[in-house]
Amino acid sequence: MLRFLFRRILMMIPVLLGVSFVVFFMSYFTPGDPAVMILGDMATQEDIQMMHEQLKLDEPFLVQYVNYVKNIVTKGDFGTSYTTKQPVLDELLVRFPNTFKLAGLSVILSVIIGITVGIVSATRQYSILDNVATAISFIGVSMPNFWQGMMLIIVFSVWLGWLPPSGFSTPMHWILPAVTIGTSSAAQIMRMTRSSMLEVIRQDYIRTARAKGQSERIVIWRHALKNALIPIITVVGLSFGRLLGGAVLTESIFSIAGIGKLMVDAINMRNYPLVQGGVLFIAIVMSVVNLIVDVLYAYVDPRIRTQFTTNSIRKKIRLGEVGDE
Amino acid sequence: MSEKTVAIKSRNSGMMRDALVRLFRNKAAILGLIIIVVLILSAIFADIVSPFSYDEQDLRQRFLAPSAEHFFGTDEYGRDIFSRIIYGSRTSLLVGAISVTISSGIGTILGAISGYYGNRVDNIIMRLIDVMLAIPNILLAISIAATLGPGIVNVMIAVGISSVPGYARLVRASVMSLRDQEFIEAARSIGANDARIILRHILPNCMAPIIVQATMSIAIAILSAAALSFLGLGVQPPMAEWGSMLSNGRAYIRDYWWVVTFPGVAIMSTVFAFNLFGDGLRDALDPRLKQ
Repeated sequence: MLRFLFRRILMMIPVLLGVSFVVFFMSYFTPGDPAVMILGDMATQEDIQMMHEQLKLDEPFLVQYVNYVKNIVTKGDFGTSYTTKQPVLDELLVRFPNTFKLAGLSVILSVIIGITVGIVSATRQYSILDNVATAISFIGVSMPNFWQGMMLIIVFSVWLGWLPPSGFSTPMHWILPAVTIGTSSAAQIMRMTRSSMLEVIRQDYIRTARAKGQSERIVIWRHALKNALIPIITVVGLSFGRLLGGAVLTESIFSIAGIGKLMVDAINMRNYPLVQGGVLFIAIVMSVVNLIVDVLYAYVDPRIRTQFTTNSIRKKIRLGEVGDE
Repeated sequence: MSEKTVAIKSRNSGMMRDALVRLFRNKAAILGLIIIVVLILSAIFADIVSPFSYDEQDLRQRFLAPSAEHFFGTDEYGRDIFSRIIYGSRTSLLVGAISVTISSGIGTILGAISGYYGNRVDNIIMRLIDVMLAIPNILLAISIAATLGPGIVNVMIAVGISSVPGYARLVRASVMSLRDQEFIEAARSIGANDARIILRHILPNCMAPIIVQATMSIAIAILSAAALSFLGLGVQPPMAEWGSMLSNGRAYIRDYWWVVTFPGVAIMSTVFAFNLFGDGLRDALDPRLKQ
């Protein structure tokens, strides 16, 4: 297992290098001179020239890219924000807890709703309940979440006055944004749970479990769900990425000081180091989430687990580390 | 030779007919199709259908509530929201169609090359796809659009490129499953070159999943494009686009609910229709999935 983890972490490195290259490439070819961005329009030609030297902007593209990566790896330096003159990493880290909390809350919300409704739908296939749930799930994935956020504000903040329309300080503030972001992933998790459960429920071992007199509740929640979990975990892992992406717009709707709002503001201000840093930062978080998903597979599915262990045993035998008994 | 083609043709048309029959039995898919057709018609005949022009301002008639004259009310410039939504369907459908053409085109080529040649080529292309998948779809589209600058063409490119990975993986998997089959070997043995084998023999056999994916991704493309316009990276005023209508109306949601409600309903119904139709299409083209 440790060996597997180590290999998986090593595999993240080329991907993240690739992301950093793509991000750097895009901002390099974005029109506009970073020196002018930092100094403002009033800067003299000499100041701009000095800034060019200071930022090493006159170096060839590849040299600049290598410097960018080197600064990130050795110093954790993602560059400096044009507007606040603060290190990009600091700006991101200050706001990350809010984004993480938002994404975490909506994952929890969507998993609870998605799995429960999905199971109910699967066990009562083609019932009215199933049809209604399926219809709602279709609507759920079809709504732009920034629009859904505005609708929730109109209804629950403006008309009913129950919940605050902006901010993220108290649990009351969390409800609307978490629901906004969680809806579409809840719908997807529900659909995946439904189809995965439908497949499992037809298996022989479920009939065996029922035949031995096991209560229906345990048959469904223990025997069936456990075997239906793999595709569900995949969707949950994927939706975490979508949640982080969706947070970009939702945070600006609800004025939440998270990474998403920071990036939207950065795009509007043409603050490229911050945009670059933000995309790279989210890509790193995504890779870690994918890693966790892969480990969860092994945890949930003994077949995958033994794959790792037998592999390593085989390797040990080949290396002569495990002798005959 | 000619007999064989006839036989294959009739078998194909039989499969197509079966699929169509299954599709038309699916009420949800038909509902989706009807909405799509209505949308396309209203986009084409926007000049005739809409009661006002999309940029006709009347500052004395700002923020009128929905009424018989203005079905969906008027916006901050006194423009008729219903008409703007109808004109906006042109933009959204166009963006959806063109960006999906871009993504399915590039994705199919990459996936086919990757799956057919395997080995090193496959490795390089798939690592590239991994890099793109490491960035959340919408964020990738935002970064590309921010690089290219605002504008409708750039939105199409940004949305198109950001959804290439899905196609590439899908096509790669289907090509890999077909690559070693006998009819490919037969084609190779009569001297067909790689390009011909891929284009004439392999791709036609994996069209079904590509078509389904394309229908579904029109829905996603429309959502992404609306999000980009909402961020100010999309079409520029006074052109009507649903996402930018939401963005403009956002400042007034406290007092005038209709300004943001109806453009959002338009986006939702369109995306909903494509999702329903795509889902039905998948069930029809691949009966194994139907439970």
